[in-house]
Amino acid sequence: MVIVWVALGAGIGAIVRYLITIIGKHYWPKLPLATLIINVVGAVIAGFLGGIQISGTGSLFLLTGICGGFTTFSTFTTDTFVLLRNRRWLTVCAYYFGTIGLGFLAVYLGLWLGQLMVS
Amino acid sequence: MKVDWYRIGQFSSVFIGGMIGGVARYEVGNWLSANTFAGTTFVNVVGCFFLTVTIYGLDLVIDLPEWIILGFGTGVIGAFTTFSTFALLFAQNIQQQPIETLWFLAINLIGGFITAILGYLTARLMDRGKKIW
Repeated sequence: MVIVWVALGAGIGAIVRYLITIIGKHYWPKLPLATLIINVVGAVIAGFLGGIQISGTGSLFLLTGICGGFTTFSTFTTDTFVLLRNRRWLTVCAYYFGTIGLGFLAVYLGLWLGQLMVS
Repeated sequence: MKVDWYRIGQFSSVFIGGMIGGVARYEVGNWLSANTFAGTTFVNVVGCFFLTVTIYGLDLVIDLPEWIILGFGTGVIGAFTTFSTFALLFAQNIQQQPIETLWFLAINLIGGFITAILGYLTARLMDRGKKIW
């Protein structure tokens, strides 16, 4: 039955990601800012869940399901590829290193917040 | 209020696709559970290939209906790959296993990029007669 929690979480995560992408295309039609925001926000939440050491069904639903379905590595890579093909050098540098830099900062922030809450 | 069936169809595609992608990622994780990093690396590197195949091939060459592209690309592949677990695994392991964790980082980033290019080239092969780049 655990698989139902993963499926439900991932479905919800994917829908919320799709919604933010639609909004992002409206406000920033030429920038993949929505994907950056999605991955950074997802990293904070995943860090927090890791920080409070979530386990069992909660972990499957929230971490494997929602966070995993919400964030996306493939769109991040493909966005980078598309920006490179279009020779938008400055944008691609900002996007690529911005996602990695902010994403890792976000996961540490989340871990810290989670550990703070537990202790 | 008028029901927007078109939008409902789009969201259903993404939801169902997301469920399939998420469960597939979970199963890959179980299958490769012997190594902490293997599951996430596998889904990310494989997912990048299929996303460029979808965007440049299935969409432009075969011209599949929009709900299939959306359900597969945004739904299945989007949920199959994961950035949050990638970042979390890095943060949780970099101190205890620095070498393995740096390899994990490099293989995901470089490997994902290489498979994205391979996916693009595969899509181009599907579309014979046009120039490759």
